[in-house]
Amino acid sequence: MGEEEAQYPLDLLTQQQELFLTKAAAAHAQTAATSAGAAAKGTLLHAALGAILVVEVILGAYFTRELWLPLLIQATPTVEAQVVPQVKTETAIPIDTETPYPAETESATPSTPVLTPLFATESPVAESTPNAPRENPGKHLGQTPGAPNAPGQDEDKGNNKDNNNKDKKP
Amino acid sequence: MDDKILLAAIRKLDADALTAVFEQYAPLVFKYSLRLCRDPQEADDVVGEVFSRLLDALTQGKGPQKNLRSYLYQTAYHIIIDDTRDRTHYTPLDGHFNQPASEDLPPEQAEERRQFLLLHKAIHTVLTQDQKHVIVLRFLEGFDLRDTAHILGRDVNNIKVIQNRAVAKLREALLYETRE
Repeated sequence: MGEEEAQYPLDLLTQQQELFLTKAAAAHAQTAATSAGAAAKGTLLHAALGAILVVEVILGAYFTRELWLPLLIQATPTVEAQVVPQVKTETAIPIDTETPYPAETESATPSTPVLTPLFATESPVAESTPNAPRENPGKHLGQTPGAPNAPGQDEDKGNNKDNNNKDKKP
Repeated sequence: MDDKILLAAIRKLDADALTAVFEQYAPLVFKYSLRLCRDPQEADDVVGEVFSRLLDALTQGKGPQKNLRSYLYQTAYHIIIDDTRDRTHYTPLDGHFNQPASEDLPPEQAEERRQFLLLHKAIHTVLTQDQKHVIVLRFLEGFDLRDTAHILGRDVNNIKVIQNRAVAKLREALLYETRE
């Protein structure tokens, strides 16, 4: 129905096409640059947010340490240090397991008690008659006549003690 | 090239796809605009504006989603409505195209041309703007009712009503012209 007469003039068509493609190229370049910048900005933003998050966690833990630190210490099992006694082998006292205690020697007389130097007597105690009074009731105890009694000893008690000690055999 | 493939390519601002789109639809948009503007220079400006807006929409991630042709015609329609509403200048179609004069055409084609010119005159003289657009899109550009409604931003039923009224007016005008 006569539609063929409405043809686009070639010069106008060519000119419009050049303008359109030039603008399209510029838009494409701008879009590519915007995408690259947005991607870089996004990456940088993510990194910054990650760093801020880490700092926040550290600061939060630091300022709340009074709350969680005691709990952490309480929950942590402790290992007590075991003190091992040091045995000095150089100065160790040899243990004589063969010799029974106390050591019995041949020179020791049964009737003569072995006394320490503190209680050493000048001479062995002579056998006395049962009824004969003691000249020196405390003599066998190493007490010189006239010497004061040992502390805590009375004459009577000393006599009794003498009799008791005498009867006792080592 | 299929419209779907073209749409996918032009969204990426592919140069070859954009060239193909222009070569395919620029003459159609020009023809449509010329039918409404009746001025080749104005129609050429409309074509340039249509494809410029297409690029702007694609750059912003917008633009046509399914029907590229409908989108281009819709853009042209809005441009014509905004810019040529108060247009009063009218140039006869014969004076601006490299078309043979009616006297040089065979009788059958000459009669068809005369009928077309009468119709074209009636469209621009007796129809309203909406009726004009509906007639051009429906009967001269070959759009269906749904696409026409989409281009004009109206309901399909509304398009039907407009079309019926426009056809009645044109029939009355053509009968009047024929009688004369």
